[in-house]
Amino acid sequence: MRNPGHRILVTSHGHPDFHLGGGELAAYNLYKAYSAHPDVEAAFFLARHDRGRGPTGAFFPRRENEFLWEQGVGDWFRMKMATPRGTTHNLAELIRHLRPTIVHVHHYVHMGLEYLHMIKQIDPSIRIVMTLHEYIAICFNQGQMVKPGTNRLCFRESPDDCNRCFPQHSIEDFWLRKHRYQSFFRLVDQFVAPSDFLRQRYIDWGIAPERIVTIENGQASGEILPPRPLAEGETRNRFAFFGQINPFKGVSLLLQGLASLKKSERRKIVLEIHGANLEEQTPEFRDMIMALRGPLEKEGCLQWIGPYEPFQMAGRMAAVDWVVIPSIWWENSPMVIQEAFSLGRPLVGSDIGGMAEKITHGLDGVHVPVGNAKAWGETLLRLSGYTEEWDRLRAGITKPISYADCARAHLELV
Amino acid sequence: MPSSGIKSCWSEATVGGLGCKLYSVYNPDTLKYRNYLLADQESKLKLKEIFAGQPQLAGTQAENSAPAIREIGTKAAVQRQPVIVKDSSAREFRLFVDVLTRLDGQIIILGWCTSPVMTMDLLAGSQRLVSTLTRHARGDVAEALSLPSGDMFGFCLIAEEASRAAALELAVHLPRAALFRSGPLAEKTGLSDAQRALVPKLLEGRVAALQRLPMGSADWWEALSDLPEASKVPSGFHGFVEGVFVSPAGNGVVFGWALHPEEAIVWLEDEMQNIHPLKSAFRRKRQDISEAFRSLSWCDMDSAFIAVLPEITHNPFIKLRAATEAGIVTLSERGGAEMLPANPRGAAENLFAIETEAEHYCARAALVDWPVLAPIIARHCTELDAITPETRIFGTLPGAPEVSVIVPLYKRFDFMEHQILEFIRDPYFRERVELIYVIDDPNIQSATLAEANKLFQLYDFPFKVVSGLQNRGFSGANNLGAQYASGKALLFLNSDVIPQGPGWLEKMLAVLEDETVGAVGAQLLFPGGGIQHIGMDFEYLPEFRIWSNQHPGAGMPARDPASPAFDVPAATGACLLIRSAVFAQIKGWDTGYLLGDFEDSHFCFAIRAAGYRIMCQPAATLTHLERQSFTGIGGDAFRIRMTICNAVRHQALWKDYLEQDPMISEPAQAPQQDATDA
Repeated sequence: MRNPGHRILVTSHGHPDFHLGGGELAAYNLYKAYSAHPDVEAAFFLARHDRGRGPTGAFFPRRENEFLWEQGVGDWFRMKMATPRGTTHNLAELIRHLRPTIVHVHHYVHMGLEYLHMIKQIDPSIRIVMTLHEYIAICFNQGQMVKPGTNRLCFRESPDDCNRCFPQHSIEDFWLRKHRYQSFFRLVDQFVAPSDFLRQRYIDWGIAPERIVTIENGQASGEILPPRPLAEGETRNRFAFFGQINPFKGVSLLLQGLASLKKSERRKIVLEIHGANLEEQTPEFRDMIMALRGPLEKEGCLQWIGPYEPFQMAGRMAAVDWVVIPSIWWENSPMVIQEAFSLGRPLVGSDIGGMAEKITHGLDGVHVPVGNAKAWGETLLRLSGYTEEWDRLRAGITKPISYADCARAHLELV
Repeated sequence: MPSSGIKSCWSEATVGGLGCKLYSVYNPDTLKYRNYLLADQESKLKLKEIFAGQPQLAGTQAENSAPAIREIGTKAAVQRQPVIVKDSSAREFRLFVDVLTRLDGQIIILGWCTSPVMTMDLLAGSQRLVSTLTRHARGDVAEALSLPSGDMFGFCLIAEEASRAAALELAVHLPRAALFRSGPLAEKTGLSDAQRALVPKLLEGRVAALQRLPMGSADWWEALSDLPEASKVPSGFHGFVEGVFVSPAGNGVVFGWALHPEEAIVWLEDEMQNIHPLKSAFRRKRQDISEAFRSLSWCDMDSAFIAVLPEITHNPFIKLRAATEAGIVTLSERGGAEMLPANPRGAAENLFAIETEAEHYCARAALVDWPVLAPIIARHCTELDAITPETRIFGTLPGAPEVSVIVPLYKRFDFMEHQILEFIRDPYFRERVELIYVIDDPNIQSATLAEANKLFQLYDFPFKVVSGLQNRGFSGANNLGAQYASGKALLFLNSDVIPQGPGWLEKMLAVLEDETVGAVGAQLLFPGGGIQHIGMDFEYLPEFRIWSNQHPGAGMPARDPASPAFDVPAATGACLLIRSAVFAQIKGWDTGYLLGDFEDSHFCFAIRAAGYRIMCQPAATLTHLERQSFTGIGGDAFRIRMTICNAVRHQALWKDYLEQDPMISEPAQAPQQDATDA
């Protein structure tokens, strides 16, 4: 019999069975890796889920050791649970039943911050590890640290700064919001940041440096893809965007960049958009994208391919040379960067935040000034002109850590 | 039949078919004609039906209030009925003497004559007396004789008094007519009010005498009774009663404006003839009145008035009256009143709506607002005391707690969770503190109890909730909480004061170990980090004539928490620790202020008056989400007026501390005596 090992409950704001977000996938993959680790006696996965009947607070099994929780958030400004009993009774019962020694929290959105307290109240010896995925505790603008309206980058929070972004919430309200977050974050034994950039932002916000470490999200330990076979005279001119299409992801910059080139120049470039959730965006944003998209598709330099499932990723990347990430917000550690690196594709990304950190300009990818459409057009044109640069950057890629490496790194913390 | 007061039947007419006669009767005492119907018994009954509700037409009623004036001597013809004098071209003049009397060393003759150019001499025997003749309008005469009403038919002759031995006789010169001699005239012992009003010179002295007497005294009333009632307001006197408030506590407020010579006697009179001199009312200048009466030399006087009537009926009839040289006049009158709400805020809102500039408000507050509001506040407190609060206990509170923390909740209750998040990580709170929330707002009662239940379910931190069922304000809510407290010390804590970490309360308690210290305040910081409170000071604001609470160092960087506790003039009630025995000794928080303000400095001065010191402990540093951050006083008009009112009460009670306490900063401008005496 093994020594009594860790019993780890991983919590997530969603189950990747239903929602393929980066945070959900990272949480689920880590749960799987924990399950496989010899020091782990048992691992559980708890995902908040909306079954279409509101936050009842109840739990449902998804499969063995996996649970769905019908909780919600009733006050997004304060990140308050929608259904107190769901936390004070249902969750309490689940914790008592599972008896975790560690709860690895991947999120609190859709669940409310209070469940952190409930865990400690049931058993103060339970260690809470929290992985931070964006800047939600710091920034009320969907955790993007970008100013609403203008999309200007934000460099710091303070009640006075935040009140200027959201005048409907007073300075005191922002103080209270932070007080709440910090009160619950105080219960966390160990914070994990997937990027140094995000770590530093949280240190600036008030988490003591010794309480937060950087551990990159793990990746599937698959084989690197061969280079896309080139026809005679062809160059490394195929670029692909993977991910959500929303105003923060910068897809419009790519389209505007292409449009700013001469027609003869555009003919040398192929851009593929593997994008999801455009239909969830505002009509203004959709119209703007559609207006940019039409003429480029007609010319043939743009291919609008649409959403993909995780298993399709490798196949789609195999058909392109570069992966682009033109986000106008800081990002944390975008999953697509690690995926592209694991599959052997150099990155072209904005020169800020998590993108600037994860992509080393001239080593494994190229930086483009953030928000600069013309620079995007010119960079794509330049990179599509020859193949040597691509070969050199591909050779500079370091393989990201695996799921197992990631789980191991976490277990070393506790 | 008409009484003896009626001197002359002037005309009669038959009223169609009813067998009664209409008489126009002239009464020289009132100088008025009145119509009377004289009827036989049968006609009277019919008339009653016709003129139901108009008793003066019902026939036999006597002229009211015949003055008790005696007649001396036999009347001359001209005193009995109008005499007709014809001139050389047979034109008729009519002449009548209403009265001849001696008053204040003068002989006064009143009458009328249809000639505008008539002159007359008064003869005492053979001696011609020095006299002055003035003419005045007699609308009644003009009407009765169908003459132009603007003509000055009336006359008033005033002569120096002569011996009573010689009979008095008038020699009247009419144009182109022979001299008319009246023959010896009968005298009367006095004049009716209406008659007096026609002799301004006569009243001058009386008014002056009245001015010298204390208003409302028996002598004053007697002197006043010598003044006639004038029907016409003399020029230069204006006024208007704009409104009347009746307080549920029994007194009332009358406000309006009155423009009159500075020394004039002007008063308010209710339907019971209680009088309230305007001299004792609050007065201020009103620009619109000044503009409207530019031609008057006293147009710039303080015309507006607000007077408090110590007793008033619910449906009063208020007259604004003045003693003028034409007699007593009513400048304005107003029936009915608006009832002030029984709750202090509502009453204050009504009162404060009576305009007064901020710089004059201090004086007004003492004269008007407090006499009305104080009894309303007292009544309100008595009513609140009669309400039985509801209490609910969540969890098990510590037995024999060291400290009871009392937190009133008003409007917002979301702060509770933020406080509890801090309390739960402070072991001292778990073991030694009894937490009491006081719901001081019926509007949040059920929501707060629901939240309290949630918070207890989630955090398992015990506390008590006292529901006051009504709003009591800061003082009342604190007192209510204290009634349910069992700690050796009481900490009064605002709900928007959030600790920054554990240990602060013990540091405050450490200061209280010194027996000479009665209460301890904390260092409170704004959410941005600057000082919000580190002891209170007071500043004299000459523009408002009040002492205002000040927070020295506000906005400055926080005081080093390692610096020692120090004495302060006062400390904020937002976070104040007091020994329970001292609290009992000073009988708790004073509930006499309007809504709030100055309650904490009053509390501190009371503690100091009981012989204790107030200290501030920088080692106890908490965040105060105070949104009111005006320096000096500010806010909307209601708030400014409320602050002035409360300051007036505060400085009347604690004048000595405010003006002599060496801990209080010197005022930039010394308070004027009138300001603090209020």
